[in-house]
Amino acid sequence: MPLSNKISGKIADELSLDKDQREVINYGAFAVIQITASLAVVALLGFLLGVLPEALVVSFSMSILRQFSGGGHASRPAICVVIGTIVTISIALFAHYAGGYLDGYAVSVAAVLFYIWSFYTVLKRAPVDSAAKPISSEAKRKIMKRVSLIILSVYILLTLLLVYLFIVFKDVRFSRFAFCVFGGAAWQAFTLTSLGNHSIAKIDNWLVTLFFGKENI
Amino acid sequence: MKNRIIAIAAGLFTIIASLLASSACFWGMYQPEEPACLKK
Repeated sequence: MPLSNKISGKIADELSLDKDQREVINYGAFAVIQITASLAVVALLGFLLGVLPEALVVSFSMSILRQFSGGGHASRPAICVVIGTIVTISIALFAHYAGGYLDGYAVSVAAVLFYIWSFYTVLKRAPVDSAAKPISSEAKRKIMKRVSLIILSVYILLTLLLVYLFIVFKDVRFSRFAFCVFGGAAWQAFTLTSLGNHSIAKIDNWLVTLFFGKENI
Repeated sequence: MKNRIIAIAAGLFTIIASLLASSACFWGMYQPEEPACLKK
């Protein structure tokens, strides 16, 4: 039995809650456990590889946008943590090393190209919902798209500020964080595309076979 | 004391569940089935 079920069962029994209230608490408890596990694994691996700040920036950049834009999904929570960690740490490592080599001009060009593509993708495809949480209302879809574009605009402003600080102070940390912000946003935009969805589905299938056996796909 | 902690936990999980109900999906790449009462 998942830990969230045990927690919600215990709370529901103690407070004599009905089935609906129990389900809501279970959903909330599951969210807390999943968010904590995802961040803990990313933080641990980021710390071990010397890219902890970058990994956390990438993780937040991807996840905040994801709340409103949706995107491709894994079939199990554990697979979600594995894929999320691999992607986050890869972007963080790339940002750490590339950010140290590139000048302000190169970082700006990369940011402009990634943001043009991300903005176009979010404008065209967001929100991408899932079978477990379909968005049926057209009004809600419009709000989700609008909020996604606002978040992306905030990321653009943040990146501009970071690139400006990098050019002024010549501190590579600013360049690295700029990479992390637009790298996380670009990956999130990628998960909205059909190629992104298919890629996640293929990796998910492969990881399920690897960890749980073929019969569990 | 124990009851108070349980009540606080219940309130916290309910707030988090309600906040997530207004978003497109969870934090990561896994989306569990949303409770029917939150879909309304």
